[in-house]
Amino acid sequence: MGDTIKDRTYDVIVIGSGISGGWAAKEFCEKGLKTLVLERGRDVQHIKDYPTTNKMPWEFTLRGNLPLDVREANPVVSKCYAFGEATTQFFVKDKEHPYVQEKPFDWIRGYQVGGKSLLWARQTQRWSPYDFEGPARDGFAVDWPIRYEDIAPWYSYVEKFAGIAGDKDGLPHLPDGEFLPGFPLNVVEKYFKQSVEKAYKDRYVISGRCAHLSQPQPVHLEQGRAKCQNRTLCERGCPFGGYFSSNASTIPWAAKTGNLTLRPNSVVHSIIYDEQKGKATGVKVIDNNTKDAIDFYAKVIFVNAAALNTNLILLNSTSHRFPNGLGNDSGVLGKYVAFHLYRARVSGEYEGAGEFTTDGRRPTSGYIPRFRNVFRQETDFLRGYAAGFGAYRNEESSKDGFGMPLKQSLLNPKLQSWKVGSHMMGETIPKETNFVSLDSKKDDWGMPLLKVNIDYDDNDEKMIRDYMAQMTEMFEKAGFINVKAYDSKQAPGLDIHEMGGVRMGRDPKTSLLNKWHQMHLCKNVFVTDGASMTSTSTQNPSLTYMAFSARAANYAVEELKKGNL
Amino acid sequence: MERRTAVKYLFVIAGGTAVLPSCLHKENKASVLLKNIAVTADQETMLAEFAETLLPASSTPGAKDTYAHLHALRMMDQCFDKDAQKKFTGGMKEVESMMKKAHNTTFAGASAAQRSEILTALENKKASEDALQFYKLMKNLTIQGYLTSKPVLGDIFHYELVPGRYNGAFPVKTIIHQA
Ligand SMILES: Cc1cc2nc3c(=O)[nH]c(=O)nc-3n(C[C@H](O)[C@H](O)[C@H](O)COP(=O)(O)OP(=O)(O)OC[C@H]3O[C@@H](n4cnc5c(N)ncnc54)[C@H](O)[C@@H]3O)c2cc1C
Ligand code: SF4
Repeated sequence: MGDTIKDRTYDVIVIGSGISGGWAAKEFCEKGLKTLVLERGRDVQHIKDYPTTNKMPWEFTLRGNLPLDVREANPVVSKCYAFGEATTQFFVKDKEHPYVQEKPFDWIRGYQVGGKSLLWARQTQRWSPYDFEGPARDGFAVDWPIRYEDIAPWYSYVEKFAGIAGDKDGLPHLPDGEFLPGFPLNVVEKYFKQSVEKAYKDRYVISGRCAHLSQPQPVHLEQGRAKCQNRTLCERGCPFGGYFSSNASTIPWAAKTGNLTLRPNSVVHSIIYDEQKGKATGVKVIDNNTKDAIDFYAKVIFVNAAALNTNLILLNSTSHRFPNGLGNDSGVLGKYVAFHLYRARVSGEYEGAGEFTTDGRRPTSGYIPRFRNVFRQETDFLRGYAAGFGAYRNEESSKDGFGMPLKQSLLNPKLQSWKVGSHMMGETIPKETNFVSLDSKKDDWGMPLLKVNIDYDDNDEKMIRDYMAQMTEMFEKAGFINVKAYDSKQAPGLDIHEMGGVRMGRDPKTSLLNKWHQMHLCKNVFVTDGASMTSTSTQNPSLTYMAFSARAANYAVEELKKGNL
Repeated sequence: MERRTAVKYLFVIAGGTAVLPSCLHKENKASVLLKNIAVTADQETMLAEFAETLLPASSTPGAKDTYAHLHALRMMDQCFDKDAQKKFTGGMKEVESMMKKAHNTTFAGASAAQRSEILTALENKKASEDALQFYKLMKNLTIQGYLTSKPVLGDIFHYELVPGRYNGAFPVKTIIHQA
């Protein structure tokens, strides 16, 4: 790389190489634009940089456990179920990247090429018309400037390329998509489905749609990806490219065009705003290794650093024109952050179906689409929750005694009765009082620490109680026994679905982005990650970020052609 | 005060066997690299025999075949706090003392019957608190190491890295048992 301004000038800069940034990069590169992807973490190349991917359980020194010193040094990330001996290399460690918790918030991050796309649980449900209409109908946040119809073709577009396995369920509030064959529910999940659908006219149990190649199509083979082999060791990185990640899919695809420059170890400090031109001209980067500052320039800038880091970059992008952060005349930047309510679970046992068990593994499980307040307001809380549902059978053995009897017992485990479990995924209401801001302390790269002020509210507490009561009832109606509801009281953040702070809206006075994810007040800067979310709905959000990113990138290409940017 | 309830012939003074002559030799070290606990080669041998008494070799592998005792050591060294580590090493020495007191021999040098006698006492909670803590930790970790080892998880239970299938209604009677 040369060092003249010209050498550091591109058509487009994309900040972040995770799920949303990967999609933006792919679209721009395919359209022939010279694209610079700035990624703060190291490079992670598909397969080559998955050191644990083919390890057998006995090849891990601690057989998957984490050393005590690692757990003690990382109280936040250690709470994440996916953080283990096989995956530590893909998670941010607490000490390396501190932040300020004014209220408890577990911020789970992945700083590397691919971001959290390596680690995600790959659940991909579409939003429905009822989700986009939510804020307007129920009078919270601001109206979404788009509707389901705007985004539906882009869902189809990203689903075809990413590869989504699912069944056509025909539900108006969880629209079908472009699916590869779904993974089946097991015998007890099917039984529960029948029981629920008989007992309630508006509740369904389906197979969770997931970003796995159950039956790869030519476009997937062309990406170098192959059929998912049911390993369910995805968080290590998949040698088959069986699940969607930036590393297996969008980034190599973008690279193949010859238009991609991927620059790892590039911490974006801020966006450079030019008052004369009335737009952004580039970004200031701190090199992760040398800590030197370097500027890069482009006509269009996409901010895809994952919701809260996107807020951080924009809040830190101050200028004479925008002293409170880029495009932030309204003062709304950093506010109305929301998340998903993952606090409660319900478990139980089922004594039927004794003649069956499961064989092999499956990268998804059952999913119960939201059934509360979908078509009209029915309860004493706003919005509702979806839920995961799974049934499984363990083999266990008595560990009493020693010698041959103990060994015989261990080597001949007994199949236990079926266990069933569910976890909630609730919508939270974005509020001004849930916000992030900049601390006066700075990190090793000269960036202010992010200060997080996010908490549950009364609506959340009511929703948790309703989920526990309703799921318990549904379990009991199905004849499940030992039904237990459990509220983990976990802090917000562990859902890893933090959203908002740079919300979309129709009015620049109450929102930052227009219906194209374009900053109202700085038209060549776009935000298409979770920061742009006006409300959260209940679905796992990343599929929506993909669709947003592809749609906005294609709009930006058109606007560039028209000379509008 | 739990200690006082220990059966009389098993009553030992903590640390009674701490200074074995072999401990004085620097090279007398455990074969796994330990950062937080001190275990000599002799103690490692004792743990190996202890693990083997828990899970003896027969037509199927024993604990020693799977290095389950080394797994236990690594786990104790890296995954437990100081208090648990102290209980483990202290209890380990107490178990040696139990053997010494009962049969005037080391655990490694004892006969199978003598080892069984000590484990029976431990299993029946007839030992000091530290010895029982050691037993609980060592037993759980030996079982964990054994069940996740290649000879057991790989060769007996046929663990599959790449199953390539999911059957959600698999008839139970077709499960073939191994051992
Ligand atoms: C264990 C786990 C399970 C999950 N399960 C699901 C699921 O089932 N379904 C679902 O939809 N979502 C799931 N998620 C969430 C999902 O991973 C995120 O929603 C998604 O990755 C967000 O995409 P993104 O592009 O916004 O951010 P990321 O994928 O996190 O990428 C952001 C990138 O930006 C980089 N970056 C940050 N700051 C800067 C900076 N200043 N300069 C340069 N680069 C920067 C980061 O290093 C990172 O690479 C899960 C996440 C985890 C960890
Ligand atoms: S379940 Fe599928 S995608 Fe996940 S590691 Fe596996 S083969 Fe790969």
